[in-house]
Amino acid sequence: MKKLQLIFAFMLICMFVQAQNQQLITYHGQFRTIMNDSRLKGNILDGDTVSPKRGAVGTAYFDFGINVAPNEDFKILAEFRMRNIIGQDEGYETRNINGTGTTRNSLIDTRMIFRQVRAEGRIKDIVDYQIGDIDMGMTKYTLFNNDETYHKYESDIFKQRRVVSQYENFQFDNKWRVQGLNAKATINARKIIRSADLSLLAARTRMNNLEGALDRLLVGFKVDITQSKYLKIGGNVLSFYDLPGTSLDTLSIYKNNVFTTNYEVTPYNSDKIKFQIEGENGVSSNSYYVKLVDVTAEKNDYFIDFGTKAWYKPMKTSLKVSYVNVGHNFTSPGAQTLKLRPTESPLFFNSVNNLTTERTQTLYDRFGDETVYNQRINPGLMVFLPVYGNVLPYGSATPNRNGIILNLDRTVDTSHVVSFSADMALLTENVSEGDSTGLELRKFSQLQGGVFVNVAKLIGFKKALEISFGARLENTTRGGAAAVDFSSTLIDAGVSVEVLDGVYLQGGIKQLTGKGNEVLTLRNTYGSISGYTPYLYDLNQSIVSAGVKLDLFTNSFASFEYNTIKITNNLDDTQSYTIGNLFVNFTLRF
Amino acid sequence: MNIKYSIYSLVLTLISFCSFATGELDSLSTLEKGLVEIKKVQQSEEIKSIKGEGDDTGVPLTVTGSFRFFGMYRNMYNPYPIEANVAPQRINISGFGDGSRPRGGTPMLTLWSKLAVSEDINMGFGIGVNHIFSGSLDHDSTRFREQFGQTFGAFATYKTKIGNLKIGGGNNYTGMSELFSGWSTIRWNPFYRLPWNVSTQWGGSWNEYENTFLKGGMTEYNAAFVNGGRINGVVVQMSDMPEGFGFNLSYGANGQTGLYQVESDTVNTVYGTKRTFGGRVYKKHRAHQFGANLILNNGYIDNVTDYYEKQYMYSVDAKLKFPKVTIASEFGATEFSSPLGRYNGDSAAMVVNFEDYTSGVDFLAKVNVQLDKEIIGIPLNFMIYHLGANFVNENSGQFNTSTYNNAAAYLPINRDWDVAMRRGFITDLNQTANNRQAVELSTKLEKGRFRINLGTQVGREIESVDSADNQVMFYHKMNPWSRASFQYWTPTAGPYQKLMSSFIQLLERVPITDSIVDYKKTFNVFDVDARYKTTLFGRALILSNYMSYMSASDVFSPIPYFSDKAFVRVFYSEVTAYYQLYKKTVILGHVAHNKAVGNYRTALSPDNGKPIDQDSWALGMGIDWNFAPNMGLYFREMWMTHKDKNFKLDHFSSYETSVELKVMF
Repeated sequence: MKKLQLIFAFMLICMFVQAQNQQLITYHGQFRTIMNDSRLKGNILDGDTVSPKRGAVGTAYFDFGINVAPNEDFKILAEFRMRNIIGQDEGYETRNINGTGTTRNSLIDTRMIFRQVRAEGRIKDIVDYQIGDIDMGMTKYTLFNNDETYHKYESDIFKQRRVVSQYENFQFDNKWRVQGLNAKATINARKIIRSADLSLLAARTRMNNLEGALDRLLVGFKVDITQSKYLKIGGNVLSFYDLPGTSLDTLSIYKNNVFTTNYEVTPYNSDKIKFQIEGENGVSSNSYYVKLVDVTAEKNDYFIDFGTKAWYKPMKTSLKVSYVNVGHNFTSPGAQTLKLRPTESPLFFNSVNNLTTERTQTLYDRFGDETVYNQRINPGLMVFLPVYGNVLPYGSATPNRNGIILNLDRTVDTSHVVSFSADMALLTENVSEGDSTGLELRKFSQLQGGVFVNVAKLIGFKKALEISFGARLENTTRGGAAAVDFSSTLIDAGVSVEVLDGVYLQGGIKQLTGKGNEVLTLRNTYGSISGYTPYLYDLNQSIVSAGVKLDLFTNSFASFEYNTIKITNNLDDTQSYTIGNLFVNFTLRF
Repeated sequence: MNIKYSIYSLVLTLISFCSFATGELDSLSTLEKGLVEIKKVQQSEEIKSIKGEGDDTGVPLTVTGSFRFFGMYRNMYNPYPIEANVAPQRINISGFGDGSRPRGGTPMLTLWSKLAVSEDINMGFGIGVNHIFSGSLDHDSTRFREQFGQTFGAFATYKTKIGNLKIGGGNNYTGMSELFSGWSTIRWNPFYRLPWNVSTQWGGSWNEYENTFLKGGMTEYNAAFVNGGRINGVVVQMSDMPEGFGFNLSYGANGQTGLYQVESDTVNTVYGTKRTFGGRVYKKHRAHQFGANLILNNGYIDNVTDYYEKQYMYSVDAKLKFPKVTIASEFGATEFSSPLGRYNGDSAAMVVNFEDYTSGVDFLAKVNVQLDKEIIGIPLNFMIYHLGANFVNENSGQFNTSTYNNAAAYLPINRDWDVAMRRGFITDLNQTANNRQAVELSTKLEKGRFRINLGTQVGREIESVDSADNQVMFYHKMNPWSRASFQYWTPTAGPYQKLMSSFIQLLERVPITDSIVDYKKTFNVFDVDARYKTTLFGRALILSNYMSYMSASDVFSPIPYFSDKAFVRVFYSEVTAYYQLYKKTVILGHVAHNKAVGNYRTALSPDNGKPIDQDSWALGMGIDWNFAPNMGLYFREMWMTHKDKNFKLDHFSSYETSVELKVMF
């Protein structure tokens, strides 16, 4: 009874506060209904009597954010998620007499969770801070969430799908979602330097347990100094380490530090041409102590990224040439962790061949399946699959690479008729990996780019008409006894036509072909090499998608699309298959 | 006594709260407006970051809804055994929270939100949250508290050059025709108070009772179990198109398709991938409307095998409105096929013979004619329908009395009961059932302060049923809200396992023991609802008397049987008085009696070899206090007793106290 009275008192206070302070409480939110209906066909089902060949899932999400700002310098953001599985049938065991629990009411099944929360504010008009669930990023060699498989020019129909996966996994703007503290301050000066931006990050990425796991912290500090219009220089420190003493027993202690400096020198900057020297250099140190054997494994290395960049402003076009050299022991988990877990089984049809084998991810799963995404920073290098990127699988901070990288870019801007970019990388390994002689080095080449054309503007069409095309070609070779010869080609094409006001017909094609042999480097949790395994690949993957999208208002739309994913396994045709997928996405945002 | 004491403490707490709230209405001025408008302010980049794909539309969010707290205590001082071979036990219940007894079903808090994005675009979403003060914080209890799927949906509407477009996701109405959507209706005495009763919004309790006196029919309240023609998925609807055309499309899962999928991380577990598609095209012509409808429920029973079931339902409908006559009609057909065979049984386990089964085309027709008073001197409502045995639609108002033929979805294999199945159900006025054709006639007479509604319905089975399934089912009208909660959502409740309880409904099965069934049962009902308004000590008083007589027999008769020729006869009568003590305070009195008698062709008592012979009585009083424009407090005290002369275990007596706080905003 006391609890009841307390609850009533609480409700009373809430109503009173709400009535008195409505202006301090604001809201944001998103309602999204996803319906996904898939069919599996093809040789892979021959003789298979138990593996699922159909799968459907649908969910209605409502993310409701409450923003409370008791004063100008402080606010709290809390977001709740309410979820209703479409057709879900669970709970209410009292309705069931056989104990398995079912309501038989497909309209009822809901859950509520606390999705994210953050407090933020400003201290003395100097320091901005955030506490709670925050998105953090630094430089490409310290803390950076790299894109998965080149998709810069993919069709809008694929982007819509990718956005869902990213939203569900808090993957925004190449940042990592962490839980901790972030503080920023800007110091303006008038003599030696113009300004200095300081930022501090502290987050816990793992909680201790009684089995010997320590608290794992991510602590970073960054300073960016603008000396003049000719010079900018920065320093970055990022430590990722276990905090000793946070568990009753310590089984292992992990520690990784990265120190880098970045700079921009602009010796020439006219109305038409700008010339700049830029780069980032740094070192890393990594140690891993295992109590059981009382051994500490250590790795130390460095990297150099030095480039020159020139702009031709009338065409909004730039060209950059860089020399990179990233040591094979350079360790920077914040920049090397993969956006998704390549070996994770996909959501749909995860078991095939009479449930004896797990289906491996396809290109489609990698952008359309939110369950394979990665939400935490991994302490060591993760195993990657070469067909989705073998030249720079861990982004710019990919270790054991040196060579030249070229970037040609015209700013992507839909107000222009044509936007494009092209990148080329010619790299080699620093040390041999997976070759028994230890002498043979891989040679990598990569060419990627694409073009976006605003056809409507080109031909004077009143409604929107856009096409895009992108491609990436990669080749890896190595001589010797453990020869490597692997190549892959990725093609992206898309079109979007506005047929009625706000109604778009959209189509897209993705084609990924990989062929050859490689050697996969197997690693333990902390990135140390644990072995090698051959990687023989000869597959064609194609995704053909078509649909209609109806824009309702800003960032709110309804789309209906059908996707056909065809996997042709040239090494073993019995493993070829096709997936048909109907996808409905209804999203309202406010 | 401690719990009883707690109840009264709670009442005092509520009264204190109400007094406080009344005094604070100035500060809660927005409540008086009926709306709470929350201005959305400019969001910082950081807020956008936490939103992920954020943007700032800068539009106001309007929220309406209700809050309902319900507390009750029941003392069953004369209990019956609720399970076979179990000693009688007192079913003392104290429930606090959303008023569901003992578990969720009605929301404690409902929120209906609307965003006016622009002049032509609106967005809305609804949430209903249950919350039972169970006193437990374990995960399961928490989960039970948070059922809001019934109202969990959102939609956007906007005007286009060719009409108004509405797109919705989540749980939305399909906008299909009457036979394909909607709610079944049951009668519900206002004394009992429906969970979602909104009298505070309608101007207070007295206004509601007066409206009922003036305009109310006998079966105007909606049953809550069926989903009212909603779908969990997406809907696309166009209205006000050129030439009066419009269409409604829907795609997703509903009660008819059943499971769509379980947890996303177990997507490949063996569950069906059924879905429903609904389409309606209609045209308005002056005051008339014509439409064509299609529903397709189809899919595989699991994700591995190729057992594919499908059900088609299609119809055409017309609603013609003339100055003094309104005619609403719908004609359609349905067909069901399954490779599993036809589902059999009732409360027994499903039998699946894995033989291809096709129901064949079955037909449905319903015509309703309303004549105004000017034509023959009294208003007249005439209804006739024919619903084939294979027309099963859990999303509409028809009761399923005949077949499980689509139940692979709604009733998964190996489940052993279906709460929607009502074999041999005696339908009330304005109710329809499949495997049934019926005629109904009703009218309303008025003279000064006197109002009387009269109506009768006679229905007959289209197909005979097997002897094993031959039964009569009737529902108890006396305080079913409470009685259904003795064993909530149970198919074989009661000391003889003859009761079926679902949401605020309690039904009783009476098996017929004929070994040969060479007849089609006839079902009769005759209802009288008389009301009188007067004054007592200068204050308004409404007296209401409702009587219902039902019977089921094997010989056709246009009027109910009053003899042993009927398998079952059920007589129900109640008198309710509403007295307006003050402008915002109403005192209620209630007395009800139910009598149910069976003949010797029904299942006989194991105690003395005689058929059912039940007497039930209820006596109650209540107080309604609308202490603020949008707030009300409702107190009820009820005593009940029930006894079957022949089925010795079938008896109980109890009293219960309840208090409800309702706030509309």
